[in-house]
Amino acid sequence: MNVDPVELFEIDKCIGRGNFGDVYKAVDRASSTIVAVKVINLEESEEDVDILIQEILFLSQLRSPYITTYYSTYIKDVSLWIIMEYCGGGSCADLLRCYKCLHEDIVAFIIRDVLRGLDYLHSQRKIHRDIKAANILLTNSGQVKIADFGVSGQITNTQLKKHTFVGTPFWMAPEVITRKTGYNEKADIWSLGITTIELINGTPPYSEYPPMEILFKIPKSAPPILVGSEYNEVLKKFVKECLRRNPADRPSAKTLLQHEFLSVEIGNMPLISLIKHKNKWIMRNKFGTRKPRFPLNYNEGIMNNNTPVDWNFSTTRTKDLPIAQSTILENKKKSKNEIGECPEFGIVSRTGKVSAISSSPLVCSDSPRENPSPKSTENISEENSSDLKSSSASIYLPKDINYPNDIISYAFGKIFYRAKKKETKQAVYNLRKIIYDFERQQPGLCEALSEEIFLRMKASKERELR
Amino acid sequence: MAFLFKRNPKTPSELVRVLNDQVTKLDNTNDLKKVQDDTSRYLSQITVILHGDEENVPQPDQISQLAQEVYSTDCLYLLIANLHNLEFNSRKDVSILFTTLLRREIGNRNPTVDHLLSKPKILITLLRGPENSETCLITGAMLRDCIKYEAITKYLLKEPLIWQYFNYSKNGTFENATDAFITLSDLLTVHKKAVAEFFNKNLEKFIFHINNLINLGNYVTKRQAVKLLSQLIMQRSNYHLLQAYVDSPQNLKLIMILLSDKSKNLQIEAFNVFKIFIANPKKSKPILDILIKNRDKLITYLRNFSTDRKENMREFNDEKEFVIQQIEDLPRLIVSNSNSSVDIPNLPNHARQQQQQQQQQQ
Repeated sequence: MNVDPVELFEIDKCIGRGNFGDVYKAVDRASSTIVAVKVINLEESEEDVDILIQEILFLSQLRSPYITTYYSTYIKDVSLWIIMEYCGGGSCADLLRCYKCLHEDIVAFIIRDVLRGLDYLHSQRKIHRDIKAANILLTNSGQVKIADFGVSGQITNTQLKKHTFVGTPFWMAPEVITRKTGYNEKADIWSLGITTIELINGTPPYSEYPPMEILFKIPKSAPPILVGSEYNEVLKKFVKECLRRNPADRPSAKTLLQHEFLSVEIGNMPLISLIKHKNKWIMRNKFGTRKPRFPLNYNEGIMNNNTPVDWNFSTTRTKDLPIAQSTILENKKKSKNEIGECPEFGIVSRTGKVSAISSSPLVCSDSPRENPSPKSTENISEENSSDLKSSSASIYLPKDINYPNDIISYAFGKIFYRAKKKETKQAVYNLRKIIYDFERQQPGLCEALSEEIFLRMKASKERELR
Repeated sequence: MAFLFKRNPKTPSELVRVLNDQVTKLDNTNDLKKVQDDTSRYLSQITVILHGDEENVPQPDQISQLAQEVYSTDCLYLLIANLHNLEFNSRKDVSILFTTLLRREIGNRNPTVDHLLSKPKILITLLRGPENSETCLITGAMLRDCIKYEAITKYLLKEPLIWQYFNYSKNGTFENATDAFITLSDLLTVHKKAVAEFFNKNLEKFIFHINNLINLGNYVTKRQAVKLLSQLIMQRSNYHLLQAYVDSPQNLKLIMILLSDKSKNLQIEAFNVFKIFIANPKKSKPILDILIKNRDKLITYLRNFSTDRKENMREFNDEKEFVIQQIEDLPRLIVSNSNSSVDIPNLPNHARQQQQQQQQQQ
């Protein structure tokens, strides 16, 4: 399970893109055989991983020559690599791109094998749910195989009818669209009828309408029929049988296999030559390679912008580490008196002079002043450290806070994140830088600013309470 | 197949007897192909009796005859023990026989459930299924059908072999490992009461094994295992598991490491467990230590944490806000930095990068 598939398979090129992932042509290094690798990025996929796993488990239990063979699955980084049989002849949709439409005998040959595949699937209680030319693959030796079980669902005994909406509108049976009664394997028979028309005419019915309109049109309209002398009578009958409005009236795959339309004996030679010619045409037009939806970049990973966090799991216990009292402080009640000691907005220097900072743009000097207390001014003037330090707030704020870093820069960091516009972020950044520049000139500025904001907030809250 | 049936009309009981005869020969025969062919033929005849075909509708009295003969012999055991000797399609016929019989009800009774509990060697053989990589998907599906019945689950949860499923889920091919995990997950989620009893006796062992899967598994195993863990912890009846899990700092470390995994989906699965550590009103000291020491990192991390999943977006955001609030309320450590010189700390990386980009643009 933990084998690196890159060592086992050499990716050649992307040959298909789907909602669930990209399909690559690759070489099995051990056997030198060509395989198809379906890569599903589980980080990008909307699909539930459980459901994908169920699909893979079911796929691994299918064995039929009319169904693309599943080989194995590997995990590479955050992707699943599902290794499947490679069909070098492309799909029937490729044939239509090259030839526009196909001869009735060829269509009968293809449809017969598709029915054999469907008969097997239905015997395994599986509905394919997305039968169309693009999902019918061909090998270079003219074998026909049903592919793409990405959205197929299993019918179980308890839940006989599915209530989910999958498939491609043009090929959808009316009951799949209306979903009034759920549906069963007969939905595939309808899609097969539409596919028959597609192979004969080059497009399914209503293909000139936008897909959404189709969803209304199919349930309301009479089932499509082939009209005109250019079509063989048995072909018209076959399509009519498949496209019965009532699912119960549609024959089973097993019954349909006996239909006269399918009794042609042309062998696989005509199909092989069509495939050969088509492959050359595709090479000439360079249609072979697609651009993957999720490029494979093994080394990069997909989400490398997510740097892992370096958690601190050291064994020191927190009680041995200093804890900022400010957080504890919030829970303590403060006496009115302490709040009253709130100094003026101007920062009082040790000499009792109001420093110039009070009129600096950093302080909102036009705010209403409250309870200027000469007593606190005296108190503060007695403390002596730097010019700006130590207002009365130091009573409850621990002294060893690194104010520029822990408070001011932290706050600006937060505001930076809150800012939505680039310009705002720039403004926040610049403002922070200015404050730092002034902090260098006047150490303690940040501390003073922090204290004042803290005290002011406290006071406002207290006032609210009163 | 129907014409064979008509030309050689065996009663259902006879069919089971000849089937048993052939299956016992499988392990010791000179002509394996012939025995396999005979076995396959009988098994598909049995499938027709059970499910009918184009021409035949299943007859209840025939099914009940068949069931009686199966119960009175070692038929199920022989078939399961010899599964690897059967042809690919016959294995599916065995599975059809098994599950069809299992679903039979007579009044309130499930005769097959009684039969399985009276002959534990069948269940044991199924439990050992993952040892055979060729047939383990078939036995896995049969075992999960059994798990739907509470009496069987109770029996299985007492069986030491189930601990092997943690290893099976890590090893072998992708299909086999994921299949074993589905079985494990069914065992622990389907019957809440039986599972709660199981946890009461096996808490430590379970936590050890599930952590091991989360720690050492590949991307898919990890994702599945954390999801299972959060599902189990959130299950009301598994209260003891919740208590035990959120009490250990080892578990918190594991989940925090996963929280910082490069995969968004793993982060989200890990968050679903992490939030339970946070919501626990009685956090132990060691848990608090880790949270406090990583307070700022956690807040920065969570502020940038988002989901692309559109469903449950609102619930996710509410939970995230709650978790952030709880962490912000934790005591904050001071980075000891007593010197008065001002070093301009960097804004968080993300912010700085943007700043640089802006400067470049200008």
